[in-house]
Amino acid sequence: MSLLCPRKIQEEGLDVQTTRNGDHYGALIHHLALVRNKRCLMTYVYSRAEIISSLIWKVGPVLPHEIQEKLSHLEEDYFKKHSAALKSYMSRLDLDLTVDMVPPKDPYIQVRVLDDIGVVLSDDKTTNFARHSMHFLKRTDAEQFISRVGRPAA
Amino acid sequence: MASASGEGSPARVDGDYESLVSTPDVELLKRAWRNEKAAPEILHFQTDLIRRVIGQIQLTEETIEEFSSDGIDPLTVSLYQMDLDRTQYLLRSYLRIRLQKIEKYMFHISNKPEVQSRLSGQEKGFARRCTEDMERHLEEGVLSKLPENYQDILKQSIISEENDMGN
Repeated sequence: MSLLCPRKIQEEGLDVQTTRNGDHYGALIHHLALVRNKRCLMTYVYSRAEIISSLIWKVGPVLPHEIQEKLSHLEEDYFKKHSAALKSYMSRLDLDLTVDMVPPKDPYIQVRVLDDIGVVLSDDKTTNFARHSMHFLKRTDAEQFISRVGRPAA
Repeated sequence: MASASGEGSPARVDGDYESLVSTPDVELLKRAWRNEKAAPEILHFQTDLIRRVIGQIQLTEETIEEFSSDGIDPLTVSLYQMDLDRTQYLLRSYLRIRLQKIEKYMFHISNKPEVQSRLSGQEKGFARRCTEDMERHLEEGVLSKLPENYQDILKQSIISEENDMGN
């Protein structure tokens, strides 16, 4: 702790032993409190950032409104930057890693459309997703719609 | 390899060699996936295996398209499709688990070159971007508001002798 104010000690021409006075201990307490506050703040910000990273896997690249209003601007920026990093990695591999989150049971899923999305192009087929229509979709095609609006029937 | 062994062992070595050669890539991928899932640290990236698996997936996708346009029995097609789906799931899950480990341990990975050597090239790029983003985030959120000597991410203050911020 004698490193704490080397200049001050030099300036006043005092030797180390006599400077362990009220100033010294005051500075020590201040330093320890500061370091503890720094630890608390860093943990808080870092834990929130970890939760935000995990959100990308659960919710996708676009945040729902209820969550977005709870984040600070800085955190929204972090979310966008992190999704961009992920997207860039996925595009370099040419693989979408956000689909296929559970092991597959059936190759095709029966899907009922809840809201009118209109005509959608998938692979080589063009299907009209009118409301209340049922379709047989390939799993990976269906997943992007399930995460948005539709729900698999049975 | 076989020449140094005695009488009984050449047969065993051959057996091992054969089983090594005949293990399908799917089995190797499954093993790599299980290892990655269970290990707390990130393991070595199986570059060759992944490259082969990606090639095989593309080949199978093309085969399936040919089958469905040739009018082959739909049951056979859906069996191939199922097999393809399962392999794709393994591949994606394997890569996902690794990415999530990178996200979790990004500072540790950037500081230890030994661990960094276990990442693939693209993963290294991802890890670098992650750490940069996180450092920016922490700096702007907290460190810029602290007094000068306390602004390091890894050290509590400049008088700390080692990186004692824990994480």
